[in-house]
Amino acid sequence: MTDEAILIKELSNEKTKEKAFRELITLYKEPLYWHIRKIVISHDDADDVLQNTFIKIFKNITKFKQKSKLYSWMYRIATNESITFMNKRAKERTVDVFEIKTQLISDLESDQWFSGDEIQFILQKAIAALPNKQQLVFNMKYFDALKYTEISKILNTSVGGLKASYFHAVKKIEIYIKNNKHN
Amino acid sequence: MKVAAKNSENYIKKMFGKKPGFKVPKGYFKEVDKLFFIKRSTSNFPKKTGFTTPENYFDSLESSILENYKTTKPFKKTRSLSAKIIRFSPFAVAASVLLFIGINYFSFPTRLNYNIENIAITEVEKWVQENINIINSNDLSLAFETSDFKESELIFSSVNNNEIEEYLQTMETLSFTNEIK
Repeated sequence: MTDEAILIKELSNEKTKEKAFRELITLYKEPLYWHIRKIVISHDDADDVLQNTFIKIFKNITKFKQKSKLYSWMYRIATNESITFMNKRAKERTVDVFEIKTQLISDLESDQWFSGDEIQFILQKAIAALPNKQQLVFNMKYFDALKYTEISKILNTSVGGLKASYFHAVKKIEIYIKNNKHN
Repeated sequence: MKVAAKNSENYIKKMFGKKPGFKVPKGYFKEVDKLFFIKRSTSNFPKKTGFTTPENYFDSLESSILENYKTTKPFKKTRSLSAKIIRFSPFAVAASVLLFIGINYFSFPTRLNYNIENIAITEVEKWVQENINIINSNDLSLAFETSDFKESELIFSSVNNNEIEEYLQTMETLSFTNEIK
């Protein structure tokens, strides 16, 4: 039995559930956090979404059919929780999600949890200007270095579609950076 | 020496052909230009996002999440308001129909059994006056017998010559011709 299979078994067992859950958090807290953070931008929001993501994982672990890797399944939950969070925030303020994201990026310059230089700030603005799908694909491919086959399982999109999304995202970002870089 | 080398080369060609035997993924050469573009472009992108976290944030995350999990209420499937309305709408419709039927049955007056003899003459006259435009004179003539009319009650017994002349002047010749036929 693989390590993953053992962990899933322990998560489903009442006696070993809590210990296994703690182990699960240790293993995946950082990759999931950074994935969420790239979507919701703010650290405080990322922390909330991460908490909700793990609670959802814990509550639904018995429903995990093991048709994909555990990490892909968790990544998918994190993605959905992040998108839901942003949609909810937009609905509360009766604005578009794009506006929310633009505002969050604008606030990055004064954000204590952002230490990027000018080019990193421009890159974040360029990413925020992309359509939602391209943002996700770019972040997962470029920053997280996931394979297309892994991203395909997470986003439920074909590899061909992902390659096209990534290509267009890179093209748009390059143009954006060239147009907005001062130096 | 050269002949020997040539023989060896021919032998290899014969055994293995000129192809090296390597394969590439399907459609690789169609995408290779895009791959080169991506590689070239992203080489100029910053490698890090610039995002940071509070010091020791990840250290206490396990305990924080587990504590949060223990204090959250059991997961309840919440339905949106529209879902609740849709769920109960068949019952609402059925109840409305029953209520309507009940109200109709108990509060609306019993339908009268209409019989031609029960209709008051005044009601008929009122209806004729209000609907004179749609009444066809031929239909009316079919409905009456000569014996139904008392000569003294007929309209034309009180019509004077001037009124007749006026009537004739308003008629079209064709209509008049048809009438006297």
